Amino acid sequence: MTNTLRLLIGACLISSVLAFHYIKPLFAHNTSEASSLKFNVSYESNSVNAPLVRVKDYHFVEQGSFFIEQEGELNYTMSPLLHSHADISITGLIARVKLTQYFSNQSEHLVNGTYVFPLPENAAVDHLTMKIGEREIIGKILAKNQAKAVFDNAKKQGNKASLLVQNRPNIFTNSVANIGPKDHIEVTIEYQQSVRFNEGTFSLRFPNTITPRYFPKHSNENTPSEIGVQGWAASQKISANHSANHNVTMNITLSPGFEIGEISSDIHPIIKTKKDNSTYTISLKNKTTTNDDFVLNWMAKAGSSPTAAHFSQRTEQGQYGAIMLMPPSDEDIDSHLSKEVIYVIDTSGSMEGPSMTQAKQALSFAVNQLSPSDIFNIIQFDSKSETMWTQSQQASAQTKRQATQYISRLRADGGTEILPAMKLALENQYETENRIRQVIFITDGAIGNETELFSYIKNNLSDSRLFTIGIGSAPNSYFMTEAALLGKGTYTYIGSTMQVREKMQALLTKLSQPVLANISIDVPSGVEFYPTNLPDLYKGEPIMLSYFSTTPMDKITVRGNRQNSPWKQALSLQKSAEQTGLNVLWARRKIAQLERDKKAGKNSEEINSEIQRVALANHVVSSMTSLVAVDTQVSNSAQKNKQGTLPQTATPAALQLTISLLFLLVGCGTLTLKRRGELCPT
Amino acid sequence: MSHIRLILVVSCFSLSSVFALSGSYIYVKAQVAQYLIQWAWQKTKIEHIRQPPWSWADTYPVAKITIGEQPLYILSGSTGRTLAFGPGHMSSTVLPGEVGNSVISGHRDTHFAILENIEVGDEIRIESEFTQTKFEVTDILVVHQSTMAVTKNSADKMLTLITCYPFNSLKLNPEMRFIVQAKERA
Repeated sequence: MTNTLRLLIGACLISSVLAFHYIKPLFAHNTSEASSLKFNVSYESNSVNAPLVRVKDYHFVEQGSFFIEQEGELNYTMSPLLHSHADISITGLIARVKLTQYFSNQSEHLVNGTYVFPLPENAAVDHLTMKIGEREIIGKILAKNQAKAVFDNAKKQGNKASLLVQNRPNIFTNSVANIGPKDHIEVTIEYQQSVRFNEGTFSLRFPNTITPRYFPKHSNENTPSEIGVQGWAASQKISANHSANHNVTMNITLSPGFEIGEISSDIHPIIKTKKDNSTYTISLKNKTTTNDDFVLNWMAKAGSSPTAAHFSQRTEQGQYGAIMLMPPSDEDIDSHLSKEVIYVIDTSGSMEGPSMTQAKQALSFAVNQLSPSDIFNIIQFDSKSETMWTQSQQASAQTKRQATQYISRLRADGGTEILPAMKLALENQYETENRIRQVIFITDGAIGNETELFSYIKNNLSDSRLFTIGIGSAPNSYFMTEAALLGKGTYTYIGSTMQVREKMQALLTKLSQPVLANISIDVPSGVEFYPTNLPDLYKGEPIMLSYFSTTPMDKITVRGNRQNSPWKQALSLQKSAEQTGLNVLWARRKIAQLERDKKAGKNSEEINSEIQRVALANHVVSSMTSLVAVDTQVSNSAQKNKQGTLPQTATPAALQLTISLLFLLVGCGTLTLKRRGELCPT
Repeated sequence: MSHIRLILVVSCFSLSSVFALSGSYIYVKAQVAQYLIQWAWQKTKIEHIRQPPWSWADTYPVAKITIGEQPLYILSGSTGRTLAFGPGHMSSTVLPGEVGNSVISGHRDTHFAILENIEVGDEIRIESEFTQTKFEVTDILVVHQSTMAVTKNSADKMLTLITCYPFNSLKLNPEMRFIVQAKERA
């Protein structure tokens, strides 16, 4: 062995050892198991000997659940939910749901508790009844603070009380105070929602889960062994115990007002009973555990799919109404309008890692789905913006190949300057020759100058449509949603590489068939209708409106662009079916619009008081009003659409050092063997 | 025969060095970057501008956090790239020291390795551009990575620190997160 080689090996050895021993301790302070033990013990003690599940914070709940407060303790005991029952009555465009949940206080003590449950986003809760033992408490609508004060006071005085609060638009909590030992509790909530109509099918969703479920069943096997199965994720525990106990029964009366062709459910088997051609009653075949949302679909008899509907309700103040209008079906339309698509992709440093992979996949997928008559271009931006071609190109096999190569070369680096990219995408709108123009914006939205961007989009949109695709663990969903709203497009969130294909396919299919653009509604003055900003309609989508008018209206006119030529349709409102609850639907839509205005930066104090006024007048729970309700959490509008995962914070440092050490050992071992070989000549 | 052994020994030692260097690089980068960020933070506090710590950086310091005796500079954004240099502030939440729940994540192996030994009642200090706030640790929990509920806003000044769990693990993409929540000290 030469001296140089010995030196080299020596140097390698020393540097490895030094690196490992001196640098790692700087950060890894303590390698003992003490801290992980600490946690296991505390959680274990909670679950041993206790038939009831205890949790620290009921916000981690996945399903409707009742939590009992522990006197002097920080955590809650989850009461087994015995049974729940839903009576759903569907008339016309509205579903009225009466949801009763039965609970029991199994302890020997007086308890206070909180009931957390999911509702559809567009639900307007207007009624609450609590039956505690023999006492019946009927909910009253009050301003949020006032309601809380009333509830707190009652709780202190030992009176039974309950308080219903909207936590998020789709999550409600109901707090109850002073439930007697061995008492049974019955909670009845009534709400109203509009039904969905798309592609000729009406549907209604009854939610059983809160947020996307994140713990697949029996996933304990996959969790690292050091965490332990008794442990950790309270949410995991909640659902596991819960689904075993939670049964749902359902009675649905379906009378949409037309002859029913087909009724089906997405997941749960159902029993249908025909009353007459346009009325059915439906119930669940099995007592279902609540792991999946229930979705009911129904269609009109073939050939008689409804094209318009009008329902109205007369009150002392005036007339409330609900309108559905289906633009003419497109059998006669060339369903493939050629389009110009501008893809804008964020390649800033914040996109590095899985985000960039997802974005690239989404983009390649989209490009390869273009039809030959389409033209397209790609803009990438970080600190600078750059277009792939100076002008959009025909989507031929060759250009698609070029684009794919271009995409594979994209690297995440540099700052995030969105405005110049947005300018590139929206300013170069040359003669579109009967093409529709779509801008598809793929980003994590890590930006600061939102307001400036919003006003730019608003002023420069022209005939383009902006679709945002949010990528990564925690995209700025506020920016994405609002940008899409101003751009008359939609926001799509892609949370993982596994979702790319499915989500992109759904979006692209929709985008390939636009039916009606630039929609506006003509109504007599003094008529208030919601929603006010109407997005473009794609194939199979209807216009759904709620209105209030002091005097009965005779018609409305819908205007828009269909196949690039002006289109209008008048709908006579002389006739209508009487229906109750339309005022509640109207109020719910008005409040949704006000919440949107608030996000767009209008005076929030004024808007809040307007929300409160509308909600109080129509007896609806909102962000500003509660039905006998308490809220300890601020409902923050920017937090409403939380999706995604917490950031990844592990580095490969420890792994690499371990591998280094392994090689070092193998090297030393081989060296020793060699020496021994030298010493023992054969 | 001895030739093969020699090659084996040399390649083992070289590979060992390569991994040792690239592993240590992560620690060194984490440490050195904090000095540069310290400079940027001083500048931010005096001139009230967003100061990237180096000219090509896609981030800037938003606050200084002191856990125990160790000061760290928090960068804007919770992306993988930012976290290599310092704890990152989740931009959809309020800034540290403002009213609401401010969410900060940091690497389990470097900056936030210190969280392993934190206890309920410990003090965390935040120096933001205009204020200084003292917090007290109120909750320590481990949750699945999809538990976005921990980023829920609050009516009071609140901090949520996030790092990967378990500590001292070789696993690259663990699913569990270690959460430390702190409320303003009265």
